[in-house]
Amino acid sequence: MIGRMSSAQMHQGSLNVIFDAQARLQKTQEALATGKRVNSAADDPVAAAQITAARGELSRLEVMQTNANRAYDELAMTEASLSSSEDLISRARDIAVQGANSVLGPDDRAILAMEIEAIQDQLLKLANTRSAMGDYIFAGHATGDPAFTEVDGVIQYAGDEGQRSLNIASGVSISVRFHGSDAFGEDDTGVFSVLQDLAVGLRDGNGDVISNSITKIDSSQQLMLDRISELGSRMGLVEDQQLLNESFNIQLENTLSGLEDIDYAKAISDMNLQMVALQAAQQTYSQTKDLNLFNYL
Amino acid sequence: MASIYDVGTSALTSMQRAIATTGHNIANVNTEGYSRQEVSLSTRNPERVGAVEIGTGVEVSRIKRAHDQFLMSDVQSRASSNGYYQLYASTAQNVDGLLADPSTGIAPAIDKFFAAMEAVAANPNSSPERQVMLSEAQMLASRFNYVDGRLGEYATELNSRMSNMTDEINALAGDIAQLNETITSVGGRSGNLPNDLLDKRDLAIKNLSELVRVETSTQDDGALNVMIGRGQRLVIGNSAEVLRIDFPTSQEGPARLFLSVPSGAESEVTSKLTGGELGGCLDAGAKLISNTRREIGLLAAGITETFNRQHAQGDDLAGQPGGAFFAPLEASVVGSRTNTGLATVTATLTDEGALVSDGYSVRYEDDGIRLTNMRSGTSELVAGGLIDLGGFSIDIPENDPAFLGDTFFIEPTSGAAGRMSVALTDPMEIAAANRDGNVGDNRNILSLIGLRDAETLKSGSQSYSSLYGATLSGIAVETRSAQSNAETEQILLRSAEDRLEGLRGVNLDEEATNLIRYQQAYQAAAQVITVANDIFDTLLQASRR
Repeated sequence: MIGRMSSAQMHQGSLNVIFDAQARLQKTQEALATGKRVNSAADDPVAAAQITAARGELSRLEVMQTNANRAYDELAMTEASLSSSEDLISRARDIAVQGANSVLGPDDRAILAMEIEAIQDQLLKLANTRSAMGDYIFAGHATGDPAFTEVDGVIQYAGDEGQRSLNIASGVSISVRFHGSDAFGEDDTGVFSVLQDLAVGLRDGNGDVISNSITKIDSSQQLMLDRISELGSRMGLVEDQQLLNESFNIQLENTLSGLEDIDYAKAISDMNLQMVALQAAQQTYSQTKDLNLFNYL
Repeated sequence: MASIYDVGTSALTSMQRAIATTGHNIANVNTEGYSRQEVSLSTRNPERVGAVEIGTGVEVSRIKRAHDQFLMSDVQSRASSNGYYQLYASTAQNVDGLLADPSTGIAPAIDKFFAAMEAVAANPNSSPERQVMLSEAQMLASRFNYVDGRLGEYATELNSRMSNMTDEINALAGDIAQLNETITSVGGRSGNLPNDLLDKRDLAIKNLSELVRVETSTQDDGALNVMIGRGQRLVIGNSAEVLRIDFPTSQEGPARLFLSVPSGAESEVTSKLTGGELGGCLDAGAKLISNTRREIGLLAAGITETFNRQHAQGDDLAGQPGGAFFAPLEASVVGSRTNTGLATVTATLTDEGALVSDGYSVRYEDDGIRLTNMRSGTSELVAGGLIDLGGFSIDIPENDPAFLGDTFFIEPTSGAAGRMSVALTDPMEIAAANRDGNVGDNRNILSLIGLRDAETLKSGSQSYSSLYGATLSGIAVETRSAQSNAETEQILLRSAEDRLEGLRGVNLDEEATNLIRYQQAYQAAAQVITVANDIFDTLLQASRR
């Protein structure tokens, strides 16, 4: 029965061609309007799964970059505190060396002792540095209370052994602080007790104590310098990670764009072709719809 | 003389019939399911005059319907496949859109929740960060609620469509039985089957095919027997069976279908009704929606459990051990509303990490208690008592004649996403610190953050995000293939319809030429009568002289 067509079929056939052309055009229009090739997961399931993963990764990366910036700020603040502390300790050492000079009289030594006490006060302030959020940064996890407190004239560490760390990339975390004992030494051997002993030694004119203090100050200073250089290398690490995150971000954006963005040149030329097809289908219909033998009877 | 009149008259009446038939065709050019009709003209029996046979004119021997049973059957079976895939694909598209949409999907909510936790890790003793984390947790729970709610609505919608389809199938079965009766009685009298009624019956069968797979067989008397799905008798001769649909609770839960049998009883045919939109609804409900709800529910139950367990390991800002962060979730057990016994099946989640997102049904039968895995379809007879099913256990009362026919549906995870909620209300109660840790301790929050990528679900094979990703890509692949099947089936149906329509449809040009042909023959036949009349007049005048 090839060749035979019913009148309803000719009508329906033309309509189907128009519908199909409209559907194809609509799909291209949607892609052009959204700029996306994949508008539902079913458009390309493999790409859709990668797109979801890439979006998740991008949003996590954003958080990680925020954390890395935070970590850098925390480390910089710690470093600033410790550098100032190290300056003070260095000044204290100069005073101790001066005090060891036997030519000095009691009045001169008392002045030096007062200077040491002033340094101790300043150092205590630095050891109790607070972050923008009000945390005592050298208090370990016990950030709510001062890291060092004076009990019966003796300065003691009041924090715990906690180390605040932050995630700066997937699977990479970094300690952003030191607790007090790490930087300022233990209660009985640390910089505070050394300065305390030194002040007493200066007042008493005890040469042994003073020269002993110099050795102890040296090791306190060394501890501090070690910490500062450790901070420096951690800051370097964070900077590296920031760059890595940045380039990973660019890479992910590229991947995402490659997966979901349309090729405009191709989409526009597709759309033009589809519009021509639709127009042709409509014209064909309007020109053939009246062809009927009854018109001539 | 009389024979000339006779011959002329036979042609006049025959051509009138032919013109009437052409008119009937033209009238039905747009009638759905109409097959054009054609008169078969044949010579009348000749008359013997002396030694010769003289023709006596023409008669209409029958009126044929343009029909091809093979093409018709092809259209019917294509209509079934097309109905099935159109419905399945459109449901798949809905589910796919729901899960993948960045504004309603669960993945972005998980991302935001964990981003909020990173902020708490940076400032564990700061209230605003904790408040944000709590809000994001509530957002995550409500996203789960929304997705599950929508899936539930899709399921209810499918159920109500299936109810309508069942009514429609019964109406069509009734029509076909009625038509069988008329066709056999008319055909029995004249020997010729009534064309227009055959068309109506074919159309009814095609409409039935769109709803469910149909097979037909013709009886000698012209009646058509109809089987649906896998050989289930729907119409035999002039009697139709009745299809009934039932749900565990009104419009909720898995649908069950029953078909009456001539003895008066009925039997369950749910698994035997394949193809068509009804088959599409059944499969879309079972494969797409139920399974997706189970997967999403598994994720909700898994997050709730694993997050709570880690949260309890830590201390809150007041130094108290962490309480339940998300409200604990329970397995769901629904008894069918037709249950008559007093048995109650209970289910308990024992290990969320070992769950595999299956659903089960328990049915008390003559020969024991049948436990069916609704996802795989496998079933076995079990004794009552406590049964461990991997991650959860069910407790089934011993079989008892009073429980016969009672059915329970056990869903360890399905619906859990709809019930997920945040139990914690005070941001200070977020256990960010390790046990006995101080206010600045963020170690437990870091452990909680670690849960995002930890493979804690499905027996240690999936993490939060990978499980969601797997569900999403599973649906995407399913949708993609359903769409492509739907497109193919539509093309196949269209081409089958084209071939049938080409054979049987009315072509107005053709009818116009027929009209002219028959009209000319009619005019010529009238001329024959005129000539006979003239001859008769001539004879009369001759005899007057």
